[in-house]
Amino acid sequence: MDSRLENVFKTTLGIDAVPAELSQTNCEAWDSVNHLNLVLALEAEFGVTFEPEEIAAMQSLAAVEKLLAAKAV
Amino acid sequence: MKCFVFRNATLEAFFPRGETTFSGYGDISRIPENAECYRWFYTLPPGIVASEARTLVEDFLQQLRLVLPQIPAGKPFELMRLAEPENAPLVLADSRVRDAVRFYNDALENMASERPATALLPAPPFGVDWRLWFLAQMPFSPAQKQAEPQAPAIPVLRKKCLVLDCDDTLWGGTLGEDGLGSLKIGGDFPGNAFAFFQKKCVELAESGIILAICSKNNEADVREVFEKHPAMILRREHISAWRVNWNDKAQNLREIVAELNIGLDSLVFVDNETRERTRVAEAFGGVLATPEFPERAHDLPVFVEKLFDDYFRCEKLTEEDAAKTQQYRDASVRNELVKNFTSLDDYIASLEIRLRVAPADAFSLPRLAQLTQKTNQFNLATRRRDEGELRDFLARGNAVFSLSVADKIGDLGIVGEAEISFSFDGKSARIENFMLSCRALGRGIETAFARRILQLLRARNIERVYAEYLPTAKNAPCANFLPSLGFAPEDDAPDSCFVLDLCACGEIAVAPFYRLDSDK
Repeated sequence: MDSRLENVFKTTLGIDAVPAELSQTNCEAWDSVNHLNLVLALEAEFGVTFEPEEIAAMQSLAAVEKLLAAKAV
Repeated sequence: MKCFVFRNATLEAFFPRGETTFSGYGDISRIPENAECYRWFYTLPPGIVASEARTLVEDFLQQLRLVLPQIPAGKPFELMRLAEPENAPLVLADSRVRDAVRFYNDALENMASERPATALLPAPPFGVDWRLWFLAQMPFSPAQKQAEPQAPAIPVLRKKCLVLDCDDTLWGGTLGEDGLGSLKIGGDFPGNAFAFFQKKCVELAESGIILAICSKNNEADVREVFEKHPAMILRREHISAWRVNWNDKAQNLREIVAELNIGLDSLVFVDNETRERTRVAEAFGGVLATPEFPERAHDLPVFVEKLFDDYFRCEKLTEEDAAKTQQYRDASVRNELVKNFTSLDDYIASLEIRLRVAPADAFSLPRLAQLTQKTNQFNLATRRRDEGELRDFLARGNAVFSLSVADKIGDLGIVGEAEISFSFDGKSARIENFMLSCRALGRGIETAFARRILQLLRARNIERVYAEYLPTAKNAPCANFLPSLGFAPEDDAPDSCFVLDLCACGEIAVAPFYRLDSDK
């Protein structure tokens, strides 16, 4: 995994490890407030902007990686 | 707890994690005593229309006056000023928003000078990210700098009439295909962005601009939306001319100018379809304004600002405009008396809260399913449902209720959901789900909602009502709710189970200061 991406997840969610299967359903800290913080942190780190539909779709690490890849990050 | 922040919008991103606890949105009913310091961070909604500003800041101040004496003596209390509005008003002489901001900031200053350890904080230097406002109620974003004040743009000749398309312009969705109940107006994104646009259209109407509708739809369907859709802000009385048919729009526009006795060059034609705009622009050789419509609903505020700049802003209203304004200010005239409240009950009473408890219908089902998905704090059982599950539940002879709330400050829409199932003998009922959105917490509304439902159950001769409180990481706010309504732990049942004997519990009354709108 991209180390910048890993760092964004660790600092935003306050978790020590970022398992590949990380998602909203298996991570207590990934609530609606931290979801917004995650969006802000990802946008600041990678210089991208997410559409509302993309923000709603970002429900797992895999989904975030896919969205970033589509933005050629 | 290091710091407790009173707030009415989403501000978590601006505070270090773990050190700050936040109030509910506009919720002053719970004030912890053990914080080291307190902060008051209320903000105006970005793009607020002039007619709402004063009422809102007076409400903020009323809340603050109730909070102030409850902050433990000697503890630091910081009050954040409101920012001056970023954009010039539609009518430059209309200083209502600026005046309201100053009125609020002056009042904060007075309070700070009267209470020791109270300081003022400057308004934050950030601008709005409309996407995050509509999605998450975030009034400004850390990534947006506040815009530098600029000289307001005024068109040389003010246009007279705004002609509006309907589908995907005034609301999200296609009326003919999706039906009335599925239109996106109000509520969550993108409905809230369309509601914002409608509010700005009303502001234009109140400044003397004539509104007309030109839409390819069945006229009866469109009229029904204007008359019946509960989230519509534009109403029939705002519209001066209707051309809802399948005819060529250029022809419709010719008829509209004839009917209103104005020139084609005083029209602004707003339609999300590029094809229609091009057709109209070509038909009239560019005489008529056909501004490009944004593809994304969250760009509507920027679009509105450009409409104002290019076509509609003016120095001041003419007498004729003003007469029109008066005409629109119908029954909704607000009581502007400033009062001081000594108790939360008095304050709640002053809000003139109106509750409507109604059986679920085609309008409310999508929103109700959404509520079950999203509500975490005030949610007794946290059973997530989709629309299909709710329909199935209803089809089995059960009941689903929606709660809509409005007060003198505005309309919150549908904020509560309750699901009730009935026993075979019809003597007992079970509350399968009961929730209230955090937007409506802190005003005693949950109690009124529950009591209203209990009244309805009693009217159906139900004898016992069962309910459960299933604790989650987030729903502590409703831990004592069932006992507060008179429910008792159920004998020989898990701790989560409660029961209320409707035959023995006496009168069930809703506090008199909530007005219950009659159920349909």
